[in-house]
Amino acid sequence: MRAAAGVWLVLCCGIAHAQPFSRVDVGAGLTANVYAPDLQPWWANGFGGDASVRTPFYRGILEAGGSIHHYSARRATVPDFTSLFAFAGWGMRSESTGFLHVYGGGRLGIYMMIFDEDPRSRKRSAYESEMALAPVVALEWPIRGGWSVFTEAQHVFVLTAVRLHLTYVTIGARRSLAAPEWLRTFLE
Amino acid sequence: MRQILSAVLLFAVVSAFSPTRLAAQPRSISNDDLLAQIGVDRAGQLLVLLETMTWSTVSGFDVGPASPTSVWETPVVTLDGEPVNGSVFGLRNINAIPVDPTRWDSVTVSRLPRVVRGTFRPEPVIDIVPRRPADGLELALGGWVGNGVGDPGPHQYLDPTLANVERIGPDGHATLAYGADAWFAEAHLTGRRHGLLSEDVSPRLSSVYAGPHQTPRIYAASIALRGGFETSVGCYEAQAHRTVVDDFLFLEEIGHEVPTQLQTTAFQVSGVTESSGASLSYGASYSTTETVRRPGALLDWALDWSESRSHAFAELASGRTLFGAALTRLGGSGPGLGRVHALLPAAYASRRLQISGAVSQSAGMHVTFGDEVAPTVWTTATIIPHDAIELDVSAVGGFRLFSQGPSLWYWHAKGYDLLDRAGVEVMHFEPSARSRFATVSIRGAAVLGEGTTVSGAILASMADDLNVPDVERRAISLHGNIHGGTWGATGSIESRLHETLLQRIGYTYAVPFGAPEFRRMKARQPQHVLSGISVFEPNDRFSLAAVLRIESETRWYAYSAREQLFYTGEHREQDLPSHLPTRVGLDFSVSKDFWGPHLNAGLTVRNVLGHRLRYHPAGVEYGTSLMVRIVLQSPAGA
Repeated sequence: MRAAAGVWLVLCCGIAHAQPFSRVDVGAGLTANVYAPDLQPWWANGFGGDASVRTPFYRGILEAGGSIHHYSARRATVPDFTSLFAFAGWGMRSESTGFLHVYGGGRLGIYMMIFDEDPRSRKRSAYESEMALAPVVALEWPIRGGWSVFTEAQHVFVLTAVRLHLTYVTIGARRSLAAPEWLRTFLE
Repeated sequence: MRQILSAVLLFAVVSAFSPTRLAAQPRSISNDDLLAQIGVDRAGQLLVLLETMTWSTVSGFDVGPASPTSVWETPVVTLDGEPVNGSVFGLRNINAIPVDPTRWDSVTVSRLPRVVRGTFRPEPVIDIVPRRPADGLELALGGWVGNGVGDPGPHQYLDPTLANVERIGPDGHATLAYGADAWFAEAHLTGRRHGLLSEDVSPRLSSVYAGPHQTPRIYAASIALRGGFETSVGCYEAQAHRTVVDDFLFLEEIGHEVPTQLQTTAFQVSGVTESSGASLSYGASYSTTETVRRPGALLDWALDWSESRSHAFAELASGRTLFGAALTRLGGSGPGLGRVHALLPAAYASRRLQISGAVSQSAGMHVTFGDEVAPTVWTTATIIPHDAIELDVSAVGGFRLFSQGPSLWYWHAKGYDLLDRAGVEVMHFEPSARSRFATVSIRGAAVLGEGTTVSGAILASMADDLNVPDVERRAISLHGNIHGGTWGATGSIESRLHETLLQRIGYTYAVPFGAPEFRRMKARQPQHVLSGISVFEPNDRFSLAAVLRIESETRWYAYSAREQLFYTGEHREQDLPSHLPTRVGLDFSVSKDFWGPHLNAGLTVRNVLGHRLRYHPAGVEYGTSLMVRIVLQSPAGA
């Protein structure tokens, strides 16, 4: 317990405070869906991609992005579908140790689902969207020149009639850049 | 972590309003950025801020405000003082206002009877004042879209019984305006779409309407033109609007929706001229609403109805004395009725006396001449014992004519045969030509230190010879000799815990008394209403807001008798609840300006707690929904 409290203290003390909108971090990665209990009997959860942009906010870090994923039907009675989670989020990053940064936050967005043709009725492809929430945790290793690699876990909670719980793990790279003046002006 | 906890704690307690205003006067909400901060996308959402108001809605678009503390069924919604005539039969749809909330300057809510542009209003008045364009050329574009949670998602292929849920909007608006020192002109367009894909409404609608879309939709479009100029002696303004709503008008007397297009056209001119310490205010307005059978309607009858309101007034204020006169003409046209109208001339006067430095007294009289004479008198004593304390005691008594709030019942009395054509039997019909009423109130407000205001009021109203409808199985009655009243209390606290943290909480308690028919009617409105608003605004470009609204349970006795008799075209039946449980709603909003103040983006999660909220037994249920909005302003308007 003491050790955990000590870790929290170190992390909280190291929370980064940069000038709002002074930098832009652009990241992308490959994603695997590792947990989808509500879908697994009918759909195979494979790989996908994730991209996001982050910038320091008045407190913490603001982010926006999207992740795409394809689900293949395991049974002939259901169609394949592709999901796109478009989100905005907020979080905090601890830089208490120079070699490892810890990011934690939450995301809110729209989980879009584009279905292929219904194999039973032959109805044309359908589209649906639903609100989704996602807590996210990431570990980031700075390399050099503003580059870092990261691994991230997010649990997406989709508020469909039968709630969907989907856990994704992402591995990718991120580049931190000084925000151009025009972008700072726009964001401020 | 500490910062996160601090932010969460701050956010949990926040709220906003212009905090230092003494509330003994009519409640006034200055828009500034508040409505955007808390996510007021349609006019009806304004009501969540008002603890003295509640509302009912069947479609989710037709929102009719109601006041638990008033003996009169519905408050009047006015745009710059003129009633919004976007509906018919006295049904008041606040969402029919042709001006988007982003263009409002302020909203004033008066709970006491008062004279508005020459018309005596015994019921509460919600007056929305559009804002004057900024100097220079101004262009504004905006819109929003929302989505309710609970769509079937991938499980639609596993469980075909899962139904889609309502998509809200999109709504859009555009404004082109020019302002100069002494004049301005503005054109404003709005377009709204509202889907009724709800398990509660769709089965009933499918029997009266077969439209081109799988989801029945309400469409509303309006254009509003406004202009004004000032001279050394006065200011003058003119406005016109045209609104068309493809609606599903729910008529309780009939028991189901009537697919109808409502076409409203309105004109208004007004002015104030000042000279030698006296001011002359005057104005004239005309509005008409026509109903057209909506394509796709399956009913073998239609409303075939049009109604109009013409109004002119002039009032002269000199020193502490005011004289005025007004003329109102209400017209109706429909089968069985031909064309009829009611003329309502009126005269009024008031005087204010300064009894001492701290005490003033005002009194007035208004007389309307219709089928009968309806005089009303009022007096208010105002005591200001200290700069930060204000008290007032008011009493109003008088008469209200049946023709002053023309409902379907009024036009039925004149001969309009809609109820006959719809197959509704009127068992008992004895309307009173006029009702007698009295209202007393004691109010107080105090500023407690920097930025904290406390206000409270005790109110009692009573009336005789009220016209109260009563609904029984496939037969309805109107009783015209009903006695009823309400008493209650309301209070609010507005404060600023920190310069970035504004909060307001208001509460109203109202109890009806009198004849059983009246108490049954008022049971539709909650006895307890609590409204809390919080805004955390670390700077003027970003805000987090929370809105909490709690309304106690309501009972709809008409529906217990008719639980299984909401008829449709095919005489199918539908079970409806006669008891609506306590409503607890919590919304969270985020608002951020970009590019200076020129681009505002906002996001609101409504009903975070996920309770199923219903505002009418026959109406849609609201679950959690997510709304996203964006407004773009040219430099002059920002």
